[in-house]
Amino acid sequence: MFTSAASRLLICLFASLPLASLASAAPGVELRVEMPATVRVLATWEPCRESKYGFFQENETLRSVAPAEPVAEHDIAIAAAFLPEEAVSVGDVWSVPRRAIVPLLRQFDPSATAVVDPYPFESAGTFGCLVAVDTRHAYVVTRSHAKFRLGEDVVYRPAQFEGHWWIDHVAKRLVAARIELPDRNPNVDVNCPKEYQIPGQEEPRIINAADIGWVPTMELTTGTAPVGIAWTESIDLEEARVKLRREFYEFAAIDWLPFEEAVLASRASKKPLHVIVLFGTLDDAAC
Amino acid sequence: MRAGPLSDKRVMEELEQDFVNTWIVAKDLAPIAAGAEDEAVRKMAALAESSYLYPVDSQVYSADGKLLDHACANDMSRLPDRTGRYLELLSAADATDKKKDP
Repeated sequence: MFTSAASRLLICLFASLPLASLASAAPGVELRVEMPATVRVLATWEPCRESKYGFFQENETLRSVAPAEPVAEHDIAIAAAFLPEEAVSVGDVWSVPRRAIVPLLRQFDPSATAVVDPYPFESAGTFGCLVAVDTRHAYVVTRSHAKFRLGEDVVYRPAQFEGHWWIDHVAKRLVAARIELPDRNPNVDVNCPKEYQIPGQEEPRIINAADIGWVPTMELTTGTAPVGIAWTESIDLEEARVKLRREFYEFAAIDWLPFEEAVLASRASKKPLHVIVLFGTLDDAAC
Repeated sequence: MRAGPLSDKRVMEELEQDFVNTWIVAKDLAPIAAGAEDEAVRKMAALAESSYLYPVDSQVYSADGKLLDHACANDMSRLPDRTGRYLELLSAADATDKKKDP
């Protein structure tokens, strides 16, 4: 119990604090999952539907991709590894152990690895962000970079895997999760040996060729995502995505606008326009 | 390029302060050039597409849509000072209205 003098002092202290300080001083949420003891994860992986050079259609390994394990039971610890050790607040970002994603991705192919060379400048592994909470539920988004070596010689690099996790943080229960390759074109980069006829030379040579393409579905799911939750605190999903992107790429700190918006903003502000045109994507591994 | 010039503090600072920045997949330019509502956007998309150097092309335009300079990442990768070349590319905008402002 406070003395009246101490109470007055506390009231004065709180009155002098800016609102942001009060908000950041709010206790975070502990995110733990202990149940169900095992989670049943379904894997779906479709072949590429469209690519720049047609390697996905020419190469038998790429034409016939399918999950090695369409259904698998995992210990709940596999999901717990994605959650932060400390209590977090909405908008907080944390680093997930690099190998956490690997056992899940091995449902697609046993070659899955969280190492993304030949692009060592990219952060590998996974980062997570708390997007929304209410008194019972939490919604977390994760971003993982990983690659596969399919068959003997195909390096298959998905743009990223975006994870959506719904957690009952009171019951410490994983409600549902979906880890998916975002559906944008292109979203997969491959390197594979290809016979190439160099003009002026008699014999064709084998070169390590690259292609990029669009894979409509590559996802892992468990449970049913809840609907209709009235979150008491949340940030936009896009804001969370930007926070996660910035963990992977330094240049993501720059404010990149969509093309049409940028042209109009340049004209309105009279600032020059810097455009990067590329055959893949700038801010994920599909390039 | 992502690991080199684009992650260099001087380049990033200049891009943040002095430019409006965007990136786009080359194949997405044609539909914008054909169908965007705004004429300036259509023209810019058409110019960006016709100027594009495969595989990654960094382009600098004046605010009124003139291509001032551009550089292909493959060409830059052969240079000893890629960041220097990127800063030179950005300096193409030095004579624009924005840079004339006090």
